Amino acid sequence: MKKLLSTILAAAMVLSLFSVALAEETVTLRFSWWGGDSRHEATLAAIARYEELNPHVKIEAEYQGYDGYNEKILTQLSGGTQPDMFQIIGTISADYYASFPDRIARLDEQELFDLTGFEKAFLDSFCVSNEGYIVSVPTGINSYNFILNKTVEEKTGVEVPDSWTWEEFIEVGKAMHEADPNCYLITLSDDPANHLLRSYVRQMTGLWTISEDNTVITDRDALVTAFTWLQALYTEGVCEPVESSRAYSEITTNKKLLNNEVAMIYGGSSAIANIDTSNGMQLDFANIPMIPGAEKTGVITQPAQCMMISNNENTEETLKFANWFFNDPEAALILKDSRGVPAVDSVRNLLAAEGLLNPILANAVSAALEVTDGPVYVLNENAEVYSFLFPLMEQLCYLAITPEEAADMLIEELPLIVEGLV
Amino acid sequence: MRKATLLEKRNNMGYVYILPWIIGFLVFQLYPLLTSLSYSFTDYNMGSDFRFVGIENYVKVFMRDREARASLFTTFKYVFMSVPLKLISALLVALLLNQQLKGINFFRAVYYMPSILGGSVAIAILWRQLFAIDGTINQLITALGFEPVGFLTDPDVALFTISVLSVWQFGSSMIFFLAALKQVPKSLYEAAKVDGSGPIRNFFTITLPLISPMTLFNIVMQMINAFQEYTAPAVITNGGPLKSTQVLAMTLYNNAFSYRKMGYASAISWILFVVIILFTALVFRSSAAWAFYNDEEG
Repeated sequence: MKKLLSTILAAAMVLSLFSVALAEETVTLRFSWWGGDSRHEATLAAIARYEELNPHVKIEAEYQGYDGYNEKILTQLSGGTQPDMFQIIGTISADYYASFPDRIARLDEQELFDLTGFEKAFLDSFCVSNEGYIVSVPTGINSYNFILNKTVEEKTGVEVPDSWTWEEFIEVGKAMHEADPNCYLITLSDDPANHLLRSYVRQMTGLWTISEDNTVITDRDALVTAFTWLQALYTEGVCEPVESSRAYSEITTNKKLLNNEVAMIYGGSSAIANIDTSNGMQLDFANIPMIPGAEKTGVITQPAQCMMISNNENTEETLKFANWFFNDPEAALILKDSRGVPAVDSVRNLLAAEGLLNPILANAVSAALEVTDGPVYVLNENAEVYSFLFPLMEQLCYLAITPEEAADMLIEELPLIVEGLV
Repeated sequence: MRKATLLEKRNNMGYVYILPWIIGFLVFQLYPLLTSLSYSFTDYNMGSDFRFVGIENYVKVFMRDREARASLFTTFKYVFMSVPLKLISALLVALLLNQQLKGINFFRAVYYMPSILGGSVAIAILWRQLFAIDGTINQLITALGFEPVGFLTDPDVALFTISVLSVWQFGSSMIFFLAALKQVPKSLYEAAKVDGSGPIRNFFTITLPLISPMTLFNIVMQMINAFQEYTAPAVITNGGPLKSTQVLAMTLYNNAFSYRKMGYASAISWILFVVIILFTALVFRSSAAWAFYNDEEG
């Protein structure tokens, strides 16, 4: 009996050694992203397929909505507990690498993840550190257009033209609201208002709010014109009143939009995938207004997001996963355009050939690329700069401040903020 | 008789029993507290390099950061609006529930329920839906023929709406008041009745003085909580409209996690700490005039 017992114990010990050995071969990667349901489903399906192809790899998905995502990643980076691969906003790569150089992998110093399919211009503009290392890759190309709900055009009998001036924008909006007092041409909040106005100012002056030499615009007349235009949207019934639009943290969940009472929203074209069209919404895109003969179009195209890879014991395995995720045709067919128009040429062409690119998204990006003004200077998208500009936009939307006061405030106070950032 | 060992002495054995708490306190409370204090004198931005800046962060809060000063003022408004409303509601309901009626325990549980649900994110989202311009409350208002109210979109009203969420959670204060009410000797009310005193006079001359220690406790606890409020204004209105609901805790969070100015955010947190200490001390100091304890003479 004793002999039997010792034999069983010995066998159990040997087996446990084997299982430990097997367990050690399994690599667990953590992958983090934000998005809507369609992106989550597509990404989870891609992860599942990769795990089938690579049984020794287990990928833990950490996904959520956009709210609070950046703060979470930042805290994780600070504590060294960031995921192995993580999505970031398109303009923050250099900033993150500058703060956490030891925690982020340099992608130009490896050969497992093929970067040749990415547009060099995008890599150089958005994905390099201050020292010039490639520290991230773009996940997709985003353009800033209006997302148009054609159902509202049919409802009101007022069509949005292919091209228009800023003054014509207001006239179309007035006509739409007069045709149906429940309907508005556009709904805005502080964020899209800021983005739209900076394009307007860019067309007027050739400058972004903050230029690449870190100077803040001082053209008071241009600012007053833009701010006056914004307030006219509310006083003329072009834009949904701020009292009702303010309730929605995500503009794509705006009730009037979903009920076909708002014709357009302004933002990244990749948001098209996040809009619930079950209420008979027919989507299209529209171009931003243009000042005839403007030297700069103010039409922004930039990465929808970027992806970073951690510099840790799992980097090698993560690079292999990233290579499959971004370059493999099978991955492309699973992910489709869940992160906007894909940034890798071959993948983009494959999806186009298969008819898997959302045609509205593809057309919006193509149209924007034809007249693109490139990316906006990265400091314009800094959180602290936003913390000044967004409340200023809100004050304008609420008519709590005159355009002149807003212009003076921007010219006087924004440089102090920029000074603290550079 | 041999001497007791170090461990056998009763006092030392007690420390062994509470050692887990001591370790937890040192690691999870004292260490972060002291680290935060040290960061508040630096320009730490969650990166590797930072330098000592002295009291620059503290000076900036009071002299150069309009947003921080405004949010401190908003916090004061919130505290002095929500705390009195909450305690008055709690006391009134406690008075109602301090009766021997059939089923009274059920009502006590029902009124305590909001405190259990708490000011969580889920409740805050629910609050936002309730008070939206097309929410349930406004639908009732418009059904009665009135114009909808911008509970969350009118800068003059939004802070009050946020305060109402806090007032709704009066349950825990109510329980404390209830316990205190039950300690008031009935003989006092009977004697007062003989002297011809009515219920309102009884309330001010018997009830309030005798529950004053509990009132002091509730004021201090609720005030400390209110100063640190974050979830409701962040989730319901995100500090708007026009920053009318941006409390200091939100400014702290934004500086720490959005702008990565952890040093500056630490300074804000210590300023908040000092403000809470000051007001708590003020309340305690004033209580000598209005809080009466059974063991006091006169």
